[in-house]
Order: sequence, then C-alpha cells, then structure tokens
Amino acid sequence: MINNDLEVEIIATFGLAYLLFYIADVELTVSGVLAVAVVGLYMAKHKYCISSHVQLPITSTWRIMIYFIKILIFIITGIILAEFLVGTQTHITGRDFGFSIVLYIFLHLARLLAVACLYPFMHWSGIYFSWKEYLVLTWSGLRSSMAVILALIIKSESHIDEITRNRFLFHICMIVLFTLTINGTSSKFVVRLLGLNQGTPESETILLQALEHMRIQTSNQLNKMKQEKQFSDVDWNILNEYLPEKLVQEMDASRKTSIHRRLSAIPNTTGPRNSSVVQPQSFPNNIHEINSSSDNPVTHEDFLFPVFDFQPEDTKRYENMRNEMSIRFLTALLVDYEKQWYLGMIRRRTLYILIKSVEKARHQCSIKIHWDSIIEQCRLSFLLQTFLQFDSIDWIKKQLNKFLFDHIFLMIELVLAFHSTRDRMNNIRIQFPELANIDEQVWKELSREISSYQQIAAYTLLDLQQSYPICVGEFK
Amino acid sequence: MIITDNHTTDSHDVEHHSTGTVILFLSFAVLAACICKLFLSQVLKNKFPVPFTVVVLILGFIIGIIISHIDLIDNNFLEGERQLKDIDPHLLFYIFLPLLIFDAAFNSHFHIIQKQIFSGLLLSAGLGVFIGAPIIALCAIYIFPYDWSWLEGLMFGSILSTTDPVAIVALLHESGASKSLAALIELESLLNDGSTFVIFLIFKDIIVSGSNSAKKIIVDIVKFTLGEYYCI
Repeated sequence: MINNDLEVEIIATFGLAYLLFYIADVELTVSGVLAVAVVGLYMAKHKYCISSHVQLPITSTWRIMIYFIKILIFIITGIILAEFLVGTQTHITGRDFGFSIVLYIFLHLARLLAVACLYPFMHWSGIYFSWKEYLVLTWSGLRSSMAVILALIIKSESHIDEITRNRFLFHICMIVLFTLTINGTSSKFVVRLLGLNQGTPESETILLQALEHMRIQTSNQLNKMKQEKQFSDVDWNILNEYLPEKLVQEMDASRKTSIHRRLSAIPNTTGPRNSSVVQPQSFPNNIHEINSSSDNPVTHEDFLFPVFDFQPEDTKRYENMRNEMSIRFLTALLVDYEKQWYLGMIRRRTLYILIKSVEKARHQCSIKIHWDSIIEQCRLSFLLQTFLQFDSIDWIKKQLNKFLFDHIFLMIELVLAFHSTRDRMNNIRIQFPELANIDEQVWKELSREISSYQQIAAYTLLDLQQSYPICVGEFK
Repeated sequence: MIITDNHTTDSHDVEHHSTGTVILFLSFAVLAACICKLFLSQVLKNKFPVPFTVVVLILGFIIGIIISHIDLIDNNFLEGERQLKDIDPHLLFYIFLPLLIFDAAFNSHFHIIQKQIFSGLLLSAGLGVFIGAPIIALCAIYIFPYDWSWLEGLMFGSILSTTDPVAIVALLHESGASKSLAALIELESLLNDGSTFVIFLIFKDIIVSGSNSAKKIIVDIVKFTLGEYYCI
C-alpha cells in the first residue's frame, strides 16, 4: 500500500503514537502509557512493516526528536527548580538536602530488596544471572524525565498544599540529579570493576582476530596508497591518528581493557604477506553472482598461519568455540537475509519466517535448528491437507490451487535464501581467513554441516524445478 | 494511516503562546544546550563523565537563577522565561510522553526482550512497584519530619519507582557483554513507566478529589490493571 514513502511512513508513526495515546487515555480510559508501550513493542516485533528504504531515516528521526524533547524537558525543569528554590527558600532548608541523601540510600535498599525477591522467580523462569549482574541490575535504577514530569504534574495541582508540592518537586529533582550523576557516571566503573565488560574468552579471541584482520587490511591499503602518485602530499602521521590501530588504543583507554596490548602480541606479519594477499571480494548481491562465485576454489591455506595453539582435546572449550562461531555465522546470515529483502529478492513474509528461525537457532547455537525450522515451514499446513480431500468441489479447488502456488512460491524463496549459506561461508573464508584459522577443526565441521544442508537445499530446488511443470499441468 | 497525519504537530509548536517570546527563550536554551554538548565533547573530550541531561538541567537551573535576580520588566527574553515557567505540566505530559514511550518500545530489540518478558513484568509491575514504592513511602513518612499521610507517601513512592535505562543499557550494549541483562533493564523501565503511572494516577485522584472510599480505589485498580493485562 505505502511503499518507500519516506515522509508518510515517518509521520504516520508519530501520528500513531499520539492517536493511540488519546484513544486509550480518553476514549477507553485505560492507561495510555501502557497502550503506547504495547503497540510500540508490537511494531518493534514487526519491524519490517517499515519499508526498507525508510528503516534508517526513521531511526535517526526518532533519535533526534527524543533528544530534542529531553533538552526541552530538562531545561524547563531546571527553570522551575530555580524559580522555586529562589522564591521559597523558607521551605527548603539545609536539612532537606540531608533527607535527600537518606532517600537516595533508601531507594537503593528498596531496589536491592526487590531484586532479591525477584531472584527465585527469575531462577524459576529459566534466566540465570550471576550475582554480579544482579548488582548491576540494582545499580541501574536511574530516575529521569518521567519522574520529573510526574513531579511537575503534582506541582500544578492546587488541591495539595504548597509546601508539600514544593517538597515533592525538590526531593524528586534531587533524586534525579543524584541518580543521573552518581549512578549514571559510575555505572561504567561498576561494570568494569565487576569484569562484565569482557565477553567470554572465545568471543574475545574472535574479536582479536577481527582486529588483526582489520590491521592487515589497513596496512595493505596504506602501502598501496603510498606507492601511488596522487597521494604523495599526504601527511601520513595525521592519517595514522584516524586508523584502527589508534582507535583501538583509544577504546582501550576509555574502557580500560588490554585489547591493543594483546593485539600487539600477535606477530605482525604484514610485510612479507603483501604479495600474496588477495583483493577482498565484495559480497555478491544476487543469486546469480553467488552461484558464479561459488566456483572459486578456496586455496588460500598457504598463507594462513596458526595464531593460537589450541588444544582440540579440550572439549568444553571446543564446544564453546563452536557455539560462538555458529552464533556469529547465524548473525551474518541474518544480515544477508535482510539484504535480500532490501534488494527485493524475498518477500516480507519470507523474511519474517527466516528471521524467526535464525533467532531461534541463535538462541540454541545450532545451525541445524535453522534448517529444520525452514523445512518445517515447507510442510503443507493442516488446513491445506484437509482441503486437499475436497478437491472435487470446483470453488475449493480454485482456492486451493491459489494457496498451493503461494506455498510453492514461499518454499522456493525459503530454500533459495538458505541456499546461499555455503557461499556465504566460503566468502567469509576468502575475505577473512583469520577466522577460519582460529580453530581449524570447528571451521571444518561447520562447513561440512553447512555443505550438507546446502546440498539438500539444492536437491530440493532441483526437485521443485522438475516437478513444477507437472504441478502446473495438474492445477490446470 | 494517512488520516492520522494531521494529528502530528511538531511537538514544540504547541506550547508557543500568542506572544513569540517563548520561542525566543526556547531557541536560545536549545542552542545553549548544543553549545554545552559541543563543549563537553570537543574541549573536555568526553573525559568529564556527566550525562548530557544533567548538564542541561543545571544549565536551565543557572538560567533560572540568573533571571530571577534581574528585575527588568520590559524584556522579551525574560518574558519568555516567565511564560515558560508557568507552563501547564499536563501539556508537557501529553505532548512529550507518548513520543518518549513509543520510542522506547519501538527501538527496543524485540527478539532479545521476548525471552525476558516474564521477569521484566515481575520486576517492574510486580515487585518494583509493590515493594519499591511502599519502602520509599515508609521512609518518607517515618523519617522525614513532614507529617505526610500514607497517601502522599505512596504517591511519592510511586513517582520514584519509574526508572530510565539511559546510561547503563548503552554501556552494556557497547561492551558486548550480557545482552539479556541490558534487555531486562530496558524492558523493566519500559513497563515500569506504564504501571507506575497507573498507580500514581490512582493516588493523585484520591488526594485531589478527596474521596478515599475503598470501593473507588478497588474499581480504579481493577479497571487499570484490566487494561494493562488486556494490552499485554
């Protein structure tokens, strides 16, 4: 209906938020806030109801809007706070500041208690956090614009006596200030102190490899640029300031991690490898390209080098590594599917099915689940099967044919989308040989698994292709 | 969907009164906030770790203090500030809140949140509000020498039960650790806003209208919670 219409789609979301709030709050007299929250969540679930070209603009529009609103709210609050602190100095004394601090401490005790009460329930519902994470959860109770707005509403109620109103506003503003400054700024240190800012050793390893890859690519590019004439005037020192090497150092400094040090520990072998590095291929954008690129033999093992000495017999580590790799690969697939939708190769409905299946698989770290759920989708639904029994009635048969065609169409899209996974894998290998190098065995096993699924997918496609004329003949 | 278009007014347009002095003040304030932001990022290189909202709040506070010490009458700028000071908070509420809430929900990572929805509900609607608010109320009633009644204390507690995930969620996302924890905090604050607001409204209505009959309270709670559960 509305497709790639930038203005209409963005403005419609704003209008929707207001209209919904009005309907729920005034017409239905239920909580408008809740209604808006629920519809917002629903739209977040069906994120792709926004057309592909509007996805990015809509995010930035909303971000700027919210930023602007926050500036306005806090400026107005600041002015009102100043006015009544100057105007009503008699009500607020130094003692009240002390009470604010007491209140701040109580606030955290209350939150700690709530989290402690929650613990058995969370355990029961199958979410396991460590005590460190519970501590962060306790520390993260920041009060912000919502509390300020509510305090302002109280301020405007003339039924409550003035001293109480002013005390409400004063204490709430103090708490907002305290939590935003103390908790907001210290949360960084708390997270770092508890060591939550680091992933599992496996994901760290992969991150390190990615950075290493980036460094090699950058230095290659630099070397090439230095040889070219039009770059002769470039001040390379200034350029270095903006290169990943420097950025990693800055990130380390800000997050107090040691990624750069560990990265430097990896032998820098860029020099001799310059000659043998292949140009990174861009990821093929459509199926035809994918098919042609899959013929490229993968023979870059000569310049792969083992960076870490892994012990394959360490099964737990192996398991973790495998899970980590699977998750990363599935994430890559997710991006691919989105790209295919963006290019118009698959429909929105197919994208939803694929994304749901990938999310499920990612949760359980297994590619098998992804393929299984695709297969599950290919089965005829119960309704269609029952209708098949009555195909002697003309009208039903006509409808049935429509559904069956639709189903075949969906099946082709699903299998075709999945079909590109092996090429994705090979592409990763060509572009990013370090990843495959982290653990040769895991990589081999994963690629074997994917190859077998791709084989099945290819057969399925072939099957569909051959049986399609028969189907068409049957339906006619 | 197209019909709703004419409902969308620029959210800052509505509060401008007949005189344009508020615009003068607001434009100045927003530009000043931008300069603050520039100062924080360029001069201090983000080393000074105060959230931007706090800086803006303090900026507004300083402007307010300065202006209250100047007694010029014939000044558009001061006039704008005075008008803004008397703005109806309900207006703020109806203009800004739907957008704030919708944004929080719409830009959440649904697939991560989905698994947390049960504990998020527990943390916010159940325990956060029903444990957090009474404790703060107790503190306010028995420690503060203000002689607040139970209703006032509970209203105070309910206001302070709202949470905002600003700093921590961004931090957790960027450090790449514990996505589920970040999702839980995000979801908690999202649901919290709704349930807290319901409770706040109930107490406010009772205090303002003076009717504290048990029947009305129960009817209100049932009505609001029904709406809540229907929605979820």
